[in-house]
Amino acid sequence: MSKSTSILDRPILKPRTDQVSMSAYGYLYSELVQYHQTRASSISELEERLASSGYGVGFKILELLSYRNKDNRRETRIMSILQFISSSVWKSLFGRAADSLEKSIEHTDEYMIFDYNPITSNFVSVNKAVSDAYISGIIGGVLEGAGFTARVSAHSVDIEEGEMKNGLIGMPSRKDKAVFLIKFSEKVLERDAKLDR
Amino acid sequence: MSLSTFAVIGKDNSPLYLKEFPKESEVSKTETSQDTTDNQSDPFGFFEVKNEINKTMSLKNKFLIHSALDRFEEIEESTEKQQSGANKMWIGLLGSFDEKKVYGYVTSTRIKFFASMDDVEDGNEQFVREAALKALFANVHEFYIQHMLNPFSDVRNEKKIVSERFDLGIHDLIKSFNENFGKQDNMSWM
Repeated sequence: MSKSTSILDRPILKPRTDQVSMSAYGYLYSELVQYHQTRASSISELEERLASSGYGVGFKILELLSYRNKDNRRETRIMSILQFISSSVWKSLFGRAADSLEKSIEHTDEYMIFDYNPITSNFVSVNKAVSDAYISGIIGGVLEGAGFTARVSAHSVDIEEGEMKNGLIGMPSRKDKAVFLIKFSEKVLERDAKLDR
Repeated sequence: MSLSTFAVIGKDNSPLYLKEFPKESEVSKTETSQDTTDNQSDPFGFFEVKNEINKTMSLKNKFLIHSALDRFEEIEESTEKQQSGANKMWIGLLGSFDEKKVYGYVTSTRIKFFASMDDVEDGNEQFVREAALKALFANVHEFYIQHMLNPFSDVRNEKKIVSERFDLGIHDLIKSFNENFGKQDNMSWM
């Protein structure tokens, strides 16, 4: 028996900022994608399967982060839950905050989270948005756990000239960024508007 | 006195975990309807539930939890004040029913824990018990999070918690709580 404490015995309240190796993550995630790919009959079905895998993660990460955050606030406003996702959730999962959070101008119920380099599609060359469906599942899980019904989808958008690109060191810089489109339902928007008064 | 009932209620008010802890002297009086089948028709123990998980709660205690839940919802609607960080989750006394006092605790994801304890006259001891109860609830919260981190647990659909690890953990916590604060004529704290 090894003397070091296993990862299961460490207290969850005090997280160690240990990092998992990229290769370990890469193997695990590639296995997950292949598992779903053999069972899906179309690309959209693969996206749905990845999203539903992410859902469970999102649900649980919401509970865990609410527990670790001693302040114990329950976010009831759209902007605050989105900020929670783009900063706390992103930091605990990927080690950095999301690159930006924007509200769509054309549609009042749409919000977008941008990430220049989500690790799920870091090594994917074609059709990156499909692999990012896992992260959109995570976002959807967090929102559902917090009580906001929303549909989240992942897309990739070309980077315009002059925008800062933070790729991983040594990797060729990507020409596109991932955007997670979050579309809230009517009831959630009404509820949020009522809370304004 | 001792903690007799413990319940974990999900955010849609679905029962996730209901457990009772009868005192030693009450075990001989069959409190739950389940117990009557044990002795009479089941001498070899074929139908008896071996582990404690599947014993259902008596109706009296279920009614207790329902009343506590109603009171909790009243409190939830009325109070807008925000207490300090760690105390936000503790609700405190929800009500007294039949010589039992029910205390509540809610997490930020609206998971509720209720515990009912026998009444005791001494006011000082009440405070001591409440403080220990707060610690108990915090530990239960941690157990709940650990259960939820299990990738095989189905928390999205709010099914009942059937994890033996969770069950044994809660059991041990409450047993040690009862041993410290249980019998009033025990002089152990002196």
